[in-house]
Amino acid sequence: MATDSGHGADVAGGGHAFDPMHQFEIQRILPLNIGGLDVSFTNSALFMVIIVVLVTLFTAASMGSRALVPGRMQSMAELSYEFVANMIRENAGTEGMKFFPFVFTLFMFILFANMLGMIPYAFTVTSHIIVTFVLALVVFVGVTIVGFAKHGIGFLKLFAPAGAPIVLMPLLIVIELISYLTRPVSLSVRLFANMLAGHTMLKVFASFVVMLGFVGGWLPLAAMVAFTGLEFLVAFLQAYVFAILTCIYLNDALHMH
Amino acid sequence: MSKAPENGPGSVDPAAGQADLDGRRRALRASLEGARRRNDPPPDTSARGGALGMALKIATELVAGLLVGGGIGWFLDDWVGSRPLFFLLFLALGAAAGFINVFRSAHRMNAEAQREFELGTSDRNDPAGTAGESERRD
Repeated sequence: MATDSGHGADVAGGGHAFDPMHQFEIQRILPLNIGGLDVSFTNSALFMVIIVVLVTLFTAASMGSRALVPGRMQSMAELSYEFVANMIRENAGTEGMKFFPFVFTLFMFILFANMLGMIPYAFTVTSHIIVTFVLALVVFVGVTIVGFAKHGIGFLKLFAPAGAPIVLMPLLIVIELISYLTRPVSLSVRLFANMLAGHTMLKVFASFVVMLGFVGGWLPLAAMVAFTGLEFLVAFLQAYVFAILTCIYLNDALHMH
Repeated sequence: MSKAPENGPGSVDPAAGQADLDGRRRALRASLEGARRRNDPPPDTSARGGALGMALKIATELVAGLLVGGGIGWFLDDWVGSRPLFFLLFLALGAAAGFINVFRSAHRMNAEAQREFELGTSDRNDPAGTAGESERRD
């Protein structure tokens, strides 16, 4: 869908060398090849490093003073801590707090990736499905391991709905199993599709401004302002959704609902 | 100098002082209400963003069910060598799984909305009791 609209804009541009998908291209910054495997340091990798450094700086440096009355940066760090801690407590119970470091890291990484992507010329790491899919896969595999570690083989009862007629059991178990397996797919596709569609839309509207020029460009420019605001909301919301679904899956694994 | 304002209200008729205080309190409440209306973010936009998010969530839930079901069927067909059979069967099962996921997330959204609604109403009825609670939650 996103590609279609981009293509339409390209045609309307009439031979303009304009490509809304160019912003998602992976570029090798430091070509590297180990044993036939392309492990080049790319712009995507660069931005991941930037994100990790920024998150570390944000949490470590702003908590450095450990003031009783927090300053601006310290209260932002404390706010994000409280936000994630409450999210876990509400959705996975106090037992889920054991996994606070993981959920907090995940949330901050995705939040910073999405927010950094809003800076012009920046690369949006989360607009690539392989990145979001690996993040979702880590959650999926981790939660499954937690479930089996806590309940042993009894964790399989998650796939057998209670009180269902025995005749329907085989069918229901297969459906439940597929439903469980869709978790990493829906989790990763949601984040990736939101970021990809949003950024493509921004680019397409920006090209409308240029195409229509001084006379007609004001309307898409106004729309751009609104969409930029919406994109900031989506950037936060998607990080939040990813983290809260992780908590809900953790809750399933810990308490087996 | 510091004595005068303390004596002022005391020496006046207490009932009149009370009425004056009530009037000032009412004025303050009205102006607060007005400021809130002007400065609070309109709930409409966030609700719309939330609705868009919900719609996308449900759409991905359905598509993911189909993708995973179809993928499993395709893989089984490769394995057993019965090209369309398992693919079609598991596509249907995947759709069913997608619907279950949609149903569950809708259920969760409903529960969340209900909780938020209850919190909102109790906030208004009992500002001392739960307002602090909801503030801490945010």
